[in-house]
Amino acid sequence: MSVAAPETGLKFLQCNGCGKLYVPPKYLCTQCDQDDFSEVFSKGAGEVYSFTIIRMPFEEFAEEAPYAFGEIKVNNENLVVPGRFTNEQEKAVKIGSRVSFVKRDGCINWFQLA
Amino acid sequence: MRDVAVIGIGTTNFGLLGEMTVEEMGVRAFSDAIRDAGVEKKDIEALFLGNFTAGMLQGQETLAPMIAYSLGLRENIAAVKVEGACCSSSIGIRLGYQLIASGVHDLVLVGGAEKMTTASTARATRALSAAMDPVSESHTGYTYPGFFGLVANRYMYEYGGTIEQMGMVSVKNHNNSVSNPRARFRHRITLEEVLESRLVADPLKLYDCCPMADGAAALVLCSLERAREYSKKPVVIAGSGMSRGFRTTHETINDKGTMLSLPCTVSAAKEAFGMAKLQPGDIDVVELHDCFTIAEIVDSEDLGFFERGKGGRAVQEGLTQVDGKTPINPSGGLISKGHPVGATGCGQAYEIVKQLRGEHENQVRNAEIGLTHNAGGTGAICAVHIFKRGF
Ligand SMILES: [Zn+2]
Repeated sequence: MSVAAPETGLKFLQCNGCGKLYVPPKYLCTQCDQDDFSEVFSKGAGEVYSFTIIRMPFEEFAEEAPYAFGEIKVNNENLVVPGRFTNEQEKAVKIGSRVSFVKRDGCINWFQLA
Repeated sequence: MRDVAVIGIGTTNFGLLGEMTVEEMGVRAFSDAIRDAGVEKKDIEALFLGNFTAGMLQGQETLAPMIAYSLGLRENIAAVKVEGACCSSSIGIRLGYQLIASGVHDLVLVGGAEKMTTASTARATRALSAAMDPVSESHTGYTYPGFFGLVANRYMYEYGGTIEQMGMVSVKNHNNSVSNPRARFRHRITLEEVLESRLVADPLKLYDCCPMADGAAALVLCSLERAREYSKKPVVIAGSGMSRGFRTTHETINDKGTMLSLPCTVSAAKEAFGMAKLQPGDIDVVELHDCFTIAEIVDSEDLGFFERGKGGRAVQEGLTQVDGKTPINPSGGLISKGHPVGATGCGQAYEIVKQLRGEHENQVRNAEIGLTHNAGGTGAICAVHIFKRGF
């Protein structure tokens, strides 16, 4: 775990029973059946597992389109999370592109392309 | 457990039926199926209706008992809506199958109805995203085309698959539905037209995506022992598999280590093949869930028809053509017949029953065993059914 401050980190949930890490939301640990989790925050350095450019979103996102959407493999936690990119205009998104976590805004995890 | 057969099939066309209410579509398909079976309405003991978006797009619920009333079915009946996004009506096939197999009922109606084309694309896309987890997916700007765009890019990266192979799925499925009077699209397209159509979710283009459609489809299910009273050509449900998959894309990747497979397809197929005591190589004709061209390729691998990473090449080599080794979507599939989401599963079964009766407009020669594959959500739910001639 590459620990970061709660204000700046990428949030995961860690089961207080067995220690397994999850991408939120998670309501019940399916490894040990506990419902008791702690929030933990990672620096969120990783790479793009896959990506697409969404050009026909539904209404709420219409003005943002086109935008890239990716699944990001976060290295230290070895978990994939969904994310979008703050600087896709300057840097091309590719599978394997290195990224770092910037912020969470609403439900969106924003990553920056290296 | 008793054997269960399909003794009647009914449908509307799939396409633009904007003048009909969703209830009317359902009534037309169910009454068509009842007439085809030749059963008396008073003998029907349950009705399952698949529907996903009527509550959101038309503000319409409680459709199943309304349809049962409009059909003139008896008063003591369980008329139930079943919902699992694009897999909804296959849930009805499964439940109807179980009620008859277990001896509770002899005659059950199953079907689906959906009205989508009078909503704007943006609004319908939003309604479809109700099958996603809002917290981590739909409220982040993710969409279903986006999901399959991710799969397509990863498939090309890992297996060297090509956008041309995906485009060939669309060309084949359009070609297949030229002769299908129930299909939304009846015209041929070229690979160039697919590749030059506008991008929707890179690398997927417009012709890589299935169209919205209106439509309804229905089946009459009956115990095999009584099926021959009604039908000279009963079609037996030899295997029924249903599964839950994962609630999000990232949870699939984190648990299974890949997004180039829908685990729900693999587990539903395993159950259906096991029950039917059959192998993928025994299947003569397939209707599978080609909501996007890449989905047909990945599904064909998940169902065991081709090795991992070889599904794209199989399309290129013509193995999935109507005269190929494994004919896939001779109806035109979701891509060209159309995808009225809650009706799609029963629509696939309609096409397979016609194939096994030897009555299809795009007939696979000597088709005796057929398979339907219907999935919903980002791989949250799947049903696989195997049908064989009962005559
Ligand atoms: Zn645990």
